[in-house]
Amino acid sequence: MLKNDRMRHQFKEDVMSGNIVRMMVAPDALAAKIAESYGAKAVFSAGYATSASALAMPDRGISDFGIALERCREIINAVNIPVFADADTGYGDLDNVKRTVESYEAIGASGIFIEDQVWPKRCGHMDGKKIEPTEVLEEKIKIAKAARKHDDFLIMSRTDARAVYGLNDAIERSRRYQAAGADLIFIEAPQSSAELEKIHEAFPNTPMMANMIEDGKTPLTKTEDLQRLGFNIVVHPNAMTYTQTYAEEQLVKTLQRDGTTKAYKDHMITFPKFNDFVGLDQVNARDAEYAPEKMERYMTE
Amino acid sequence: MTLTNIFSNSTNQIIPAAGDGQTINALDEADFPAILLDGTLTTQTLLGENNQGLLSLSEYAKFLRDMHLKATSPLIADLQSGFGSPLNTYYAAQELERSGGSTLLLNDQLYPSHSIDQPQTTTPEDLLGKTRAAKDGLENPETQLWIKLEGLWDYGITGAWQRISYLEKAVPMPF
Repeated sequence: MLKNDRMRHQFKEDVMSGNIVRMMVAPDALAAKIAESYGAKAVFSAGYATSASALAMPDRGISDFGIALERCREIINAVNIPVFADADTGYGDLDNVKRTVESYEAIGASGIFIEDQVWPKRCGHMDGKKIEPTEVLEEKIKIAKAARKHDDFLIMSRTDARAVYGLNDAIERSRRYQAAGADLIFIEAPQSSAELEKIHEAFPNTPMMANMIEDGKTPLTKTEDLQRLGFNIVVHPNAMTYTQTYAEEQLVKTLQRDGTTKAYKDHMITFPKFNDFVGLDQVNARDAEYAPEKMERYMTE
Repeated sequence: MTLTNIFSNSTNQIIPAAGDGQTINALDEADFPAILLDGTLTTQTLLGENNQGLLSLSEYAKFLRDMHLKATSPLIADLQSGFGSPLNTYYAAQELERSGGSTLLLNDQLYPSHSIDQPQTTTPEDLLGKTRAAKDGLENPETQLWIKLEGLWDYGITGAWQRISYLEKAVPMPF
């Protein structure tokens, strides 16, 4: 089985197993490789982190399809664990949704979510969101399902209606998105543990995702507690971005203050350890494998 | 199914080359066994230049992915001269396969490749290294690697046969 097929199949099995899949959002390929090396079973490529990493901009619908797709592709190519993707609103109308699905499936994503915000969207935990009529995402879900080539490529509906119309409306919308074909359900930004519980009660047999944003609308909840509440996926969308930003701020402050990075060195990985982490020895070995002197053995008449 | 298999089952043995979406759409509707996404033609489309050596791997691969989403015909990807050394060729072959190339076409020019009648060619050792590297980079056993020898003007037919005999020893595969 080829890598893309294997990753999609593995992700679907994990999500449907009844256990919970925990994913960090990786801002870039290096972050994804770090998550993988410390035991992550899957990673997420999502808008807030990509917008920050690629553009140094907030998640306000400025980062587009091309940027998001390419970042996700870089992440997929760097790891051997499944990668799930944030496809925002599908980036336009139904033709755009079709292209979005075909493209993410072709690069090897294990699935995507599509949401019901008005474009340009906002991070789900920001104020001022505007929501499309339910029919808009219903039609997008139907097109997305028709466009995918493999059933293992999972389509998740995301509604942002909680903040605008309340939890009951968000649940009702999600029922319609599920009826339209969504494999997985994501109700963004519930505001309490009781709301998380109510979401699970509304969809007891459907894999659900919870989103844990530091300083967001939803209380930070341990993975095992979310599993007890019936969630099958938990995502940590901003933690790596915030950690990178904090560490780099401290580094720059140190350099500005001291004129050298020496005092910050204890917070860095070392030159040899980093080279080892990104596989320098393996690359050098491969380079040596095709050296001219090694090819001479095939040059006999 | 490999492109060689497709050839053996097809009455049409012509592979047209293209470098833009409209031409690929038109060719895709005709009965060709495959379409070559040619490096020079793609360079003309994307850069407005005739020199394929100006087009980087990432620029070409992005266009290949877009065309792969559209075309139903198998696409032959132009691996040029591997976009660098044998090490670059390994990663370039990976990239072009996952971008939708069902067959990769590697030439024996010096890097960077040029779109000229009498290009400078690389050494047999370098060609063998690149060929083995490209083969090692491929994941799908149905993806084929084809070699394009471009130095007849220089090494002559004798030199070409010599390179073929070396390649047959270095990489057990159908050419």
